[in-house]
Amino acid sequence: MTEQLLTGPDTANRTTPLLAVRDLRMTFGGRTGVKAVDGVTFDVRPGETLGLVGESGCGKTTTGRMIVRLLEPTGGTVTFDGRDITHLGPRALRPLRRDIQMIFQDPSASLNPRQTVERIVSGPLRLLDRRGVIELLERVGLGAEHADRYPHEFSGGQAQRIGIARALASRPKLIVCDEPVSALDVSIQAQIVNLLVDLQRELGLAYLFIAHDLSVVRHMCARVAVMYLGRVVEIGSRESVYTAPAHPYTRALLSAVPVPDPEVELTRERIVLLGDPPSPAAPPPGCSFHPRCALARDICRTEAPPLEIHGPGERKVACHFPG
Amino acid sequence: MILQVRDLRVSFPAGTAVDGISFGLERGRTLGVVGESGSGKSVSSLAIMGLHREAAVSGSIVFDGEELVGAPASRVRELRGRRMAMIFQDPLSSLHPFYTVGEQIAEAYRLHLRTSRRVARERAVEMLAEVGIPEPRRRADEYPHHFSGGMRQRVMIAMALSCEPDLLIADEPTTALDVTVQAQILELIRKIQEDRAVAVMMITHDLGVVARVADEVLVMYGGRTAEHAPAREIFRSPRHPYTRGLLASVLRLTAGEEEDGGRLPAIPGNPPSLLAPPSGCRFHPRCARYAAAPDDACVTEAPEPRPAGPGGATHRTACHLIDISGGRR
Amino acid sequence: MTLYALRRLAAVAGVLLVICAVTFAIFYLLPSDPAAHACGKTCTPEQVTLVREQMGLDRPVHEQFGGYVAGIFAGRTLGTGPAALECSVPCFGYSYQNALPVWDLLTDRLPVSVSLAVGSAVLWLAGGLAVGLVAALRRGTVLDRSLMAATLASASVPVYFTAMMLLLVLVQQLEWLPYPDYRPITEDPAAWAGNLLLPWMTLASLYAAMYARLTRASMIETMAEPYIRTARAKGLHERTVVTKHGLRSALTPIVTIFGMDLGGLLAGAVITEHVFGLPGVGQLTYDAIFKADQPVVLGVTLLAAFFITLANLGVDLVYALIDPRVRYA
Repeated sequence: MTEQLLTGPDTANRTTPLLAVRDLRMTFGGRTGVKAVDGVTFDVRPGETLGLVGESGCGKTTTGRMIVRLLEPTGGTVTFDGRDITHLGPRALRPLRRDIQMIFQDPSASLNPRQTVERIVSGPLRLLDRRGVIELLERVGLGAEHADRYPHEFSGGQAQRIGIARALASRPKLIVCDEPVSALDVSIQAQIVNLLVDLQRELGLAYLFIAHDLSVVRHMCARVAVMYLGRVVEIGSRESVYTAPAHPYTRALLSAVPVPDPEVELTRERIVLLGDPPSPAAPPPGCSFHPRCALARDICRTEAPPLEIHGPGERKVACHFPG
Repeated sequence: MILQVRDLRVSFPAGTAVDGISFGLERGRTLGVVGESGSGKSVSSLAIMGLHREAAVSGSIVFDGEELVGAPASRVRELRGRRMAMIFQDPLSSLHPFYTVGEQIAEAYRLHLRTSRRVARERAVEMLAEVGIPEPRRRADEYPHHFSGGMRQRVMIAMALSCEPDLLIADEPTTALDVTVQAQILELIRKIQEDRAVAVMMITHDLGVVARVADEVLVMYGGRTAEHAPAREIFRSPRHPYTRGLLASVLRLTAGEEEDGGRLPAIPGNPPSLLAPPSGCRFHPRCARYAAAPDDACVTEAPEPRPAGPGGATHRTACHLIDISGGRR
Repeated sequence: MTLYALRRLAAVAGVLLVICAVTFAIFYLLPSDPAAHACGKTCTPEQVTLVREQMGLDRPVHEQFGGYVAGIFAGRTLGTGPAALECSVPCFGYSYQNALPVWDLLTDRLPVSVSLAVGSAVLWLAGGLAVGLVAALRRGTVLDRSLMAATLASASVPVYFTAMMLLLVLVQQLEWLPYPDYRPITEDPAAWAGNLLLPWMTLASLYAAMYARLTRASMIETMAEPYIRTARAKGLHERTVVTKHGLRSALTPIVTIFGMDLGGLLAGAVITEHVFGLPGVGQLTYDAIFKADQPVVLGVTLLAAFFITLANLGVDLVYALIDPRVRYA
């Protein structure tokens, strides 16, 4: 199945992926434990942004943590730049840490409160001198005057800029952004989104953009993967996922997002899902979405649908009855 | 008018969080209060509930004809939970971990309606059923940690509505919830409002939530009113540069393709600090209009909300740089 | 719950066995010779050897240990021939000093230590909680600050100093209290309490100060929880908010510390007993250590370990009663 996922219809002109994730698994608490991530497969190509969306407990953050190797996967492989990094030890990981960086949700909590901005940005390896730090600060919209201050002196948006500068210091090729704007005020979100887009253009960065906010993902990502209970249920280009969602969960998710326009809100069709997302500790049998799915039939209760190509382009869906 | 707020001010030792806001709310209507952190939206709602213990509250809060500012604390306490109720952002930490949800719902009912323990418990079960909790009789004996996030917020709503209040203040009720669960909770609040003609004050930073539920919108900035208008007008013809900036910079599900991956028209700078707010109009340091054509009034004088826009007197905007006829000065 | 309690009891037994072994090993490794102590200063080396054989000290350590543990449950005969001593269940051996059974020594002294511990615990809990609660609710006021200064002073004074001062003032100068002389509660409850009042106050002044500070910190933290805001939003009386919603949560960390403190004190408050000349377990420990009276030291060590592990178990069970989140874990 892995082969089939790898080879889409347009294999010939596709660039080699920067990051290739194959059947990635993470089970917490032993063999019978919680399957937080249960066989996830996707690619991130150089310079592109892949969005990873889903609700709490869907495994998107765990996936991100395995890719930056804060966690060691219990199954599957992570290949970065052609090299299998799934089970690298701490020493072998060190050079990799430069190439893959991470930006976190809560910017002020992820910065060491006892270090100055200069030290935070230059990092434990002292990758940059003061001039380099200031250059980087200016690039993320801060200035030389901020270099000697401490994290608590900054607002949330500024702290996130510092987090971004720190991530950039080692000149990474890939940045895993875990909910980078969800803790920020609306007016600040736009600033940070703009900054991330600018940096990608200037530096040719690739992003794995993890978020629960479908609007942010739509803006940032040319390709989107939707996760539900540890699995990717739909993956494809932004256009296919947002304008013609094939998985009933994607459709429900999209229709649940409130749109800032009362007239649209008044008229648009809304699918209100019943119940809560189930716990990964006790996933339903068959298709894990079936208890909340209006289209569920017998096969959905017994057989988990594979992720297969559906419709034009490279869009893949894991559903017995894709729309 | 079930609620009439005039020139509300809330000051803490550290500074003034709310600096003169006014609005009214009718039964069965929803007022959306929008603002960023430090805008004073939550502080205002806590002032209406009389929940500030170390703040100076002045101005006027008239609830169903009764002035609450300066009223005896015992009187405000009688109204609280009985005729005005509140739900909060994080339903887990807002519920007491040591008492069953049934006990927590029954507690206020028993106190305000002076009923027996048994009657109050029946009421709790009835309320749990009404907010859509399956097997309410059994679930009433469970503790908050047995419930999911969405179910906990339903419990909070059941608790708030148990005494049939006239006003429900919802402070970011869906911010901590997943989007599919958010849709359920917003739907529940809407249904309850229809059934009971309760007035709802929905405090949120999410313009989408406001668009979905609000009849009227109050946009707050730095503790003051920026714009106050019927919901449709706020979204169709925003007048205040802050509202405009906010609506332009908000990320959408259905933006035009040319915007994809492009730059958003972001508002520069950061929300103002409560400790050292800018002089004059608090938005002027971030204001595109002021930057294009600086006006001394913006720096020296706080603009008062005044009618401006197609909605006539119902659409009020606090900005020096628009004229009353609706065009730009 | 019962199963949980049983499992925990089994763990207690295991812990006691380990402590027993460790204490045993420590004595075995010590250079002092219990046989020489027991025999007296005038003994010849031959006599000491004889005594050593008599006491079984010439056998390998694991045999000695096995014999000791077996004696606790089955009783045993110590020594051989005409000097043999029948030691009935539970056998903890005989004191080297006065040839009395350790069990009898312990049971004689225990009521004194228990009286001392329980009495002072009642005083310090009442005093500490009250002071801490008042300070927390009046946080930042002059009252809060002076109470906290007083507790700091009280907690930093050594027990023997407090004891001396109380003796000097209350007994010698004012003559309000008698000089402590232990009287069993079964004989004369009034005399029992009157005589113990001074030691109780001495111990309580130290612990109450710590508990006051602990209560204050815990209460301040709890009163800032969102669920307290919810309780107020329900319109509950502040009294109910503080006691039912605040205090119950604030008490959980205090329960833990209290269990440990009480457990430790039950096995004797060495300094307090010594200063007031109370014939408790602490006094016994003090003497036994100086005389290298191995069976007695072993006995009091086991007793202390027993009380502390039991108190720990009690704490966990009480915890489960207070906090439903612990129950099913």
